[in-house]
Amino acid sequence: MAIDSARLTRVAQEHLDFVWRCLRRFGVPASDADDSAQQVFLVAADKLSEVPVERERAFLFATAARIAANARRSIRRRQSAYDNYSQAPEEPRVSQDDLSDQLRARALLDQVMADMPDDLREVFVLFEIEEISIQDIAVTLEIPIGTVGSRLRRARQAFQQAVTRHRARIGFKQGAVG
Amino acid sequence: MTEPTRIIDEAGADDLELSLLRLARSEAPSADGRRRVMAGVAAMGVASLASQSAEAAKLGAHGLSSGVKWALLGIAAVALPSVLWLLSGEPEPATKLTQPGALQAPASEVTPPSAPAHADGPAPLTLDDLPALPANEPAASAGAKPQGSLAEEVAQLQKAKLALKGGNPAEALSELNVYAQRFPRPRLGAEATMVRIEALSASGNAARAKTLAEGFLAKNPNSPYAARLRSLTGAR
Repeated sequence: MAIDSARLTRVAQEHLDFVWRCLRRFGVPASDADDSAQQVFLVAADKLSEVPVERERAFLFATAARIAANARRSIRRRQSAYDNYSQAPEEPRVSQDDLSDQLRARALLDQVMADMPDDLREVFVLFEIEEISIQDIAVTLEIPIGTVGSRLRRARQAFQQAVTRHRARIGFKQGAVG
Repeated sequence: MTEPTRIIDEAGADDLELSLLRLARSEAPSADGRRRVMAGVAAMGVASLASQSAEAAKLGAHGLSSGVKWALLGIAAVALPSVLWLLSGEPEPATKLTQPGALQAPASEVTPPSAPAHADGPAPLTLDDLPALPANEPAASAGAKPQGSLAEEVAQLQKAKLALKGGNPAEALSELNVYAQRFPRPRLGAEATMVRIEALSASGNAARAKTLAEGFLAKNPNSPYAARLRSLTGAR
């Protein structure tokens, strides 16, 4: 299959940040996100000729979700194989003082997102983080607008509950960060 | 349905929620990461172009006119060094293009006009330069083994990286040896070298890692990997 190099380059330039963030929010560690992004564009190189221009972002999102799922499985296998040598991921412990530490905040973000079911997380990521409209999300995920709305409501509840649980755990006082 | 207000735009939104969402929106690949991904994307295009050129060459007189054929070969020949330069992350040396098959274009010695040329500069380090690797056939020899696709190369290198990340440097080194055998003209040579040095270091072979790092740094002092290598091995 011939690759349209110019199109592939444009797509990568336009959407690399989007793909990278989606991979991260779907559980790919930052240390693996570059490699996973490259895999997304490797798939795109093969399939892009079959994808209409207006569906490029949707295609990349679906591909990123699939690559992220594979990456998570691979990470689980690694952890399982080396359980004797490594600790399970720690529950992020973010105190009021520590929250200024971006690494700890990122760990909390990863945990909150990991706790969210995939179908809710997709909608949450696209709407709350990527600022994509409800209508475009419906097109991207190929689901009815009403379903997007209901998933978003449940996703927000899950997000807020996770934050509340975390706050209860560490006694976080609202207003510590902005 | 009416577009809801995003949490981040809500008045009186929870501070911690806002903080997490702002963080999520601000995340992006590092400059090095971005460059690596884009270099990989460029390589995918060139690999495809080279493949097309090979097909064009096979068609010969039955297909394309010789002028078109040589034009395609020339394009591939000019593009490949730039991509190799991007992938290696190094200043590009003047490159004698001696790839087999379709890439043996009439213009076999190419210096891309758009890239900095260092006629006297060192050649980029490839896995063929590494003492630990099995001997490979010369890159341009007539009997050179056919090389796998870029996807296969990425996948093989990924096996080594995953083994290393999984805490098994011996397996990583084994995968790197497989990589070296399968890809005698690596398109991701600099990255493979970096992984090998990390694996050697992780396996307790610090002296070997340092020697390899020093060899790499001598040839590629401005590599994006340089700081990491120096920090990892103590190489100068």
